[in-house]
Amino acid sequence: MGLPVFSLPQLILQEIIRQLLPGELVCFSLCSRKSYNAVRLLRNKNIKWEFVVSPGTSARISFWFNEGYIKSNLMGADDIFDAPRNCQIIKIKGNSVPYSMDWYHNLRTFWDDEKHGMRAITEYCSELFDNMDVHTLLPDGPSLLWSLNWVTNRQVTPLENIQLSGDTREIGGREFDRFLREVKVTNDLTICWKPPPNFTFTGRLPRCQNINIRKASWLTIDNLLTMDSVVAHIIGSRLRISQINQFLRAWLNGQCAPRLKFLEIRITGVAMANQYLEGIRERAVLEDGILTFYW
Amino acid sequence: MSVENAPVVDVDEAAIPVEKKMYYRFESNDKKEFRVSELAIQQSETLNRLVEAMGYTSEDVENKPAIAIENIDGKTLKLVFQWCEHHKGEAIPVDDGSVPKIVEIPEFDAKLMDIDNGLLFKLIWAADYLNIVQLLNVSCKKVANMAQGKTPAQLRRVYLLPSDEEDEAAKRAAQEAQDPRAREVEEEFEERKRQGGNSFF
Repeated sequence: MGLPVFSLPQLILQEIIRQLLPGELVCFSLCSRKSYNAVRLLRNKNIKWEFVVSPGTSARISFWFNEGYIKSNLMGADDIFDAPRNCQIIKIKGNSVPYSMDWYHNLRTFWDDEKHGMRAITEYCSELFDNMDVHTLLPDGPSLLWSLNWVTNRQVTPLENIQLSGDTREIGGREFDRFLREVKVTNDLTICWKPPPNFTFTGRLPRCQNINIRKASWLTIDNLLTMDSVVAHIIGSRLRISQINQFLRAWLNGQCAPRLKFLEIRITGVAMANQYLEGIRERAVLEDGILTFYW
Repeated sequence: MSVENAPVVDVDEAAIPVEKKMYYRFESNDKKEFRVSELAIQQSETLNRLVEAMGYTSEDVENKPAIAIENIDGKTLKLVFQWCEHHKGEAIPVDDGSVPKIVEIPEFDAKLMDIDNGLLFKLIWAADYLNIVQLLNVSCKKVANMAQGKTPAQLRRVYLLPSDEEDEAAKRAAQEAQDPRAREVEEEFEERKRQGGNSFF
């Protein structure tokens, strides 16, 4: 015998709903109009979930809490060809689609057009959770530009974070150039993908709090000089020592990167600190064995 | 401590405790009587306020009739008091709701709640009525755990969720029960439509 939750007083139902994980709330909301309204009305609205959308192959949407300290998948949109036999059907944003539950207890829906599916499940979950805006975008290669364009146009609030994650991924030069010119992000931009060897970017890097470039062989001194971030991690750079010295001089003289507070540049090969710090070493104060620069 | 050993005392079955602490007597709606320690009662905001307001002495507790709890039966109340005795002295949790709630069900509570859904339903009602915050937390967590890995179709069965059509029918029935004339009017309207009338009036 089941347990009739709608026969319980509303405060108890609220307590039960508050103890359901976000993915379970989505399943509960899909049971009926009444259950949908119950989730909308009774869920805990004080929790600041971050709405994370990962379009592409095995597209899914999830909630993160505290920058991913807690992660909870909401649902996914997959290719109709991946649908198991005898799937049941569910109605999402006017579409009747097959669905199943995977081994990790994630709800998967199956679509003829995965892009459309991704948009539909995102809109469904956004509405369910009080028109929550997408907070973080984690696209794969093929979904990069359309998903960026779609998310940017669907909401007024700018995206907080974009992560092009996966160290082995490559990206076409034209596509990457367009991405760097179009992307608008307020907090964190992480780029792990590798553009073609001859790629250079002639524009300005997007303005954001933290920029993290893992395969930075394409980064030029001009990109660095025009960068506007608070924290920058540049890994795998091919900048010459003289260029890094040029940047450090300009930075300390207040001629570039006015908001920058922390910079990490990793290059391949060996270099002596004296070469980097030529002409600026005298501005450093030795404090507890650490050279500290003030400007 | 096992569920069976929890120190709730049925008056007619067990000896009176030798401790000098005050034990209050409560009676369920099916006339089962229980003795519950003062400390255990503090887990229930409702009962705690009640006994404070009554201001009973040790003699009063013995001489006056047991405090009646009208809307909870003996089987449920026994579980409630077993829980209160086991958790007596524990701090009552405060939740500001700003972080995702993580409720762990202790082993004792898991065994205590290893009951059919009918009794679990009554236990939740009782925890709410008696305002026992942590018992309500764990019992609601038990219900929430039932949703783990369930599809919407399975959830409908687990939580006995009516379909939209059933909800509509129930709503209509409730409206009709409130206003019997509404049904007559609707039937009359349907009859006229069948007869081809364009206007109801």
